[in-house]
This record gives sequence, C-alpha cells and structure tokens, in this order.
Amino acid sequence: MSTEQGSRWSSVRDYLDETNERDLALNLLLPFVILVGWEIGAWAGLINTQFFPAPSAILGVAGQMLADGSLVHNTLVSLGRIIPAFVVASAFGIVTGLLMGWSSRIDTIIDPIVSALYPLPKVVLLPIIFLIFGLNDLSRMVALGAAVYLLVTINTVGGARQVEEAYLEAARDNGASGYRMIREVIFPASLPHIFSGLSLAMGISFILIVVVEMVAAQSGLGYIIWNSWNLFTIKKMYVAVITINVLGIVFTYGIEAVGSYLTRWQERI
Amino acid sequence: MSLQEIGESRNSTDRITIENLRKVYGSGDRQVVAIEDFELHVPDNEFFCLLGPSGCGKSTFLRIVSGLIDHEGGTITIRESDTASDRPLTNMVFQEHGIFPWMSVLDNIAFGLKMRGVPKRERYDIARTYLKKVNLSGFESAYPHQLSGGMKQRVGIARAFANDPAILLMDEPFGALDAQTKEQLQEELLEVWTDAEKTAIYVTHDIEEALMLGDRMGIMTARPGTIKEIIDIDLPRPRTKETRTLDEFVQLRNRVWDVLAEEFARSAPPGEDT
Repeated sequence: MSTEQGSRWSSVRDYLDETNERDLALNLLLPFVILVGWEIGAWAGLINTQFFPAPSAILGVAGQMLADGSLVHNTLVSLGRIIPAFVVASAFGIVTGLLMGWSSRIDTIIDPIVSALYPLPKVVLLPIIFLIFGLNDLSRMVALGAAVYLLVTINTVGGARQVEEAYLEAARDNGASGYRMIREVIFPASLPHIFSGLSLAMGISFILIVVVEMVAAQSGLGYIIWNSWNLFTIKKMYVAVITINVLGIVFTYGIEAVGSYLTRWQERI
Repeated sequence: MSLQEIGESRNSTDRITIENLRKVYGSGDRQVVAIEDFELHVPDNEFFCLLGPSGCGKSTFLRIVSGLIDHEGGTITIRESDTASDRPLTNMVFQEHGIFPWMSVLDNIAFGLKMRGVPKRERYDIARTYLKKVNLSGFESAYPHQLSGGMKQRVGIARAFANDPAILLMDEPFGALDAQTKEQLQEELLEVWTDAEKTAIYVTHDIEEALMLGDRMGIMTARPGTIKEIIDIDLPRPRTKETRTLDEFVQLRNRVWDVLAEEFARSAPPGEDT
C-alpha cells in the first residue's frame, strides 16, 4: 500500500507542478504586459503621470516609505485591526453556525436575525457603532467583526445543516451525542463550508478595513489612501493600495491553504 | 416507550427477545403501520438473517433494536454481556456512509471505543487487531475516499466488532457491492464472526447471501412487516463456494423463493426501502 500510495501522491504532485508552471506563466503574462505598457506610456508622455505615475516611480516612493518606517507602521496598524477582529468574529461565527446546525431549535431562534442582517452592507452600521463605542479602534474592529461573524455563521450553518443523516445515525449508534456529536461529526463535516466562509470573510475584511480607516482614522493603510488623496501625494496612495492588495491575496490564499490541508480527506476531482 | 430493556429473558439462552413489536409512522388518517405482531427470539451466538422485500420494514426493525428510533408497542429484551459491563448492547454495520470520510481508517475503527472513553493506546490496540482481521493492514492511516467500496465496508465491520456489542446488527452491508466482492466479504465476515462468537442479526434481500451466512432465516411479509416464516439453515460450516453447489442449498433457495414470491407480489409496486 505504501508504495501504491506513494506513487499516487507523487503523480498528483507532478500533475500539480506541470499545471502550476504552465498556469503561472499565463497568469503573469497580462499583468506583465500592463506594467511594461504603463511604464513605457508614462515615460513617453502618453499617460498623465499626475494620476498614473510610472510603476518605477511608485516603487521609489515605496522604498522611501519602507526606509522611514511609515509603510511598515501603517501596515501593522491595519493588520492589528483586521487580525483580532477576524479571529474573534470567526470563532464566534463557527460556534454559532455549528450550534444552529446541531439543534433545529437554536437554528429557528437565531436564523431570522442572521438572515436579516446578512445582506445589510455593514458599512451603514458604522455611524451607529461609532455612536455606541466611540470614535476608536474598538468601533472599527466591531464593524469588521460584524461582517466576518455573519459571513462565517451563514457558511458554517450551511455546512452543518447538510451533514448527511447517515453520518449522524452512525455516530449516534457508536455512542456520540451533544458536544461530541458536534466535535466529532458536525464540525469536521462542515469544514469545507467553514473554510469557504473564512476565505470570503478575509476578502471582505480587507475591503472594510480601507473604508473604516478612511473614516476618521489617523493611521493605517486606509488612512494613507485617503490622506494621500487629500494631499495629492498620488504615489503614496498607490503604494498603500498595492500593499493592501498583496496582503489580501496572501491572507486569503493562506486561509485556503490551511483549509485544503484540514480537508485533505475529501475526494478531489 | 423505552428503547431497549436490559434483563433476563424468559429463555436464558436467548440473547435477544422481541415480543409484539409495533411501529407506526405518521398520525391520524395518514398513519402507516410499518411493523406489527413482530416476534423474534435469537439465541446466543446465532447468526440470524432477516430477509424481505423492499419496504417491508426490515431496516426499520434494526433501527428500533439499535435504539436509533422509537417504537409504539411491544418489548425488546437484550441480555447484557456476561463479562464486560461497558459493552454496548448493539452496534450496527450500515449499508453506506456508515464510516466517516474525515477520519483515517484506524480512527474510524476506534470511534465507538473513543466515545465509550477507552484510553487512546488501548483503543488503537483493539482497532489494529480488527484492522488485521478484516485484511486492511497497511491502510490504517488511509482516508475512506482512497478505499474501494468493499474496503469501506470492511472498516465498518471492523468497527462493529471492535465495539464488541452484545448483538451485532447489519443492514445490508454488502448491498451496494459487486457480486464477486460480496462473496469475498461474506467469507471474511464469517471468519471474523466465528472467532468473535457473537450474536448477529443480518438484514438482506439477497436469498443466497442469507443462506451463505445464517444459522436461521426469518422471512418478512410486506407492510405491516412481521415475520412470516422462520427457516433453519442446516448447511455445514465453514461455508465456502462449494456450499452454493450443495443440493440442500438449492432446495433451501427454492423453498425461500416460493415464500418470498408471494410477498414480492403483494408489495408491488416496489417502494422505498425503509
């Protein structure tokens, strides 16, 4: 078996490597063409560099911001808002979703609130949250957390409700109930849904952090974007935009990687 | 209604005694009597096969005995184990989706023991023993999606035997397998069962399977389900491929077929297997 399994895994890896290399080249083609075109256009005077400074000029400003520490500082400030809000809200979201999937009574009680709030753009809650918690980081994290919580709850409950009755029956027949039913069956069976919720929520977090920091914040990448716009330091703005973008990609893919490791028991097509 | 009652049955050699069992689905006008006047005594260490047409309530019966669903009347008395008191009364081998895809083979086999609070090392030791008995050595860390249908059912069987229940319940465990795999697994199941000295109730709609496995066979009627006839299967053990060619085997099969034919006719159109 071990050899059979080994060869199967290595062939899977070969397959992934091949497609990765080919796809990666194709993936990078368009961005590369755009960047080169942009650079040439900027130098040749075809593009208004006031609004679209050359990539190399943006890179230069990024270097300055790295050197004076402002880029790292503001990135850490933004992450310091996203990460705690995301972790706490996801944990509550997963627990709520699992409880709803486990007990139809809990589901009936909570579902109307979650379903009603879910479609609401969380940004509109911002003024109310500022009123309640004050104009501070807690408010910003609550706004972020509310969005993450609802998204993760909805996805988790979607998974938890779909656990096949046969698995629940087999678990019951083997003596599982209550907490252990959730821990051993409902939670692992819902993991694929939970992780798609977490990955969506991470994407939303990066959108919201910018909005939240644009409103009455004195630090963070969103603040830099808004401030640079006001001061017309456009290159700085691009640096912040790109940093947010890169962080968003890294974190979202990070979550997906953890998710696919934890659901490696799934049949992959 | 209590699910299972533990105690001494009137006949002390019986492992399980079922009297006047009644199961009703729905209420009011839309009531369906699934099982009625069901009586069954299975002695210790017997392999009892329950045969019947689709929808006759044989799976429902197993779920009542296992305590997974309620019943409306009658008594089920299961004699507890004489040795270990923490053994479960029953444990079931399911037809499909009985093992968990997110657990390795070994964790699946040890699952019931884990729920019962058996310490990790001990439950893995027991699980490995049964892993070997069902010929899955080397697959302990594989996930179910890496296994064939027959191998998955071996995992289910290993888990049930590892749990060491007073009564083993099997709900068409080989129903979804191809003929060859099925025969292979039947022989393997008999080996494990012979070693374990266990009382088993095996539900199937396959006559030859029942004849290959059972000491006795109960033939069920269509709804409301009840046992129409019990037939002794006096075929020599161990049962192998040659068993199927014996005259007694052929005669028994024809006899069962005659009884079943009436029931198949009555239960048409074929309904959902409940």
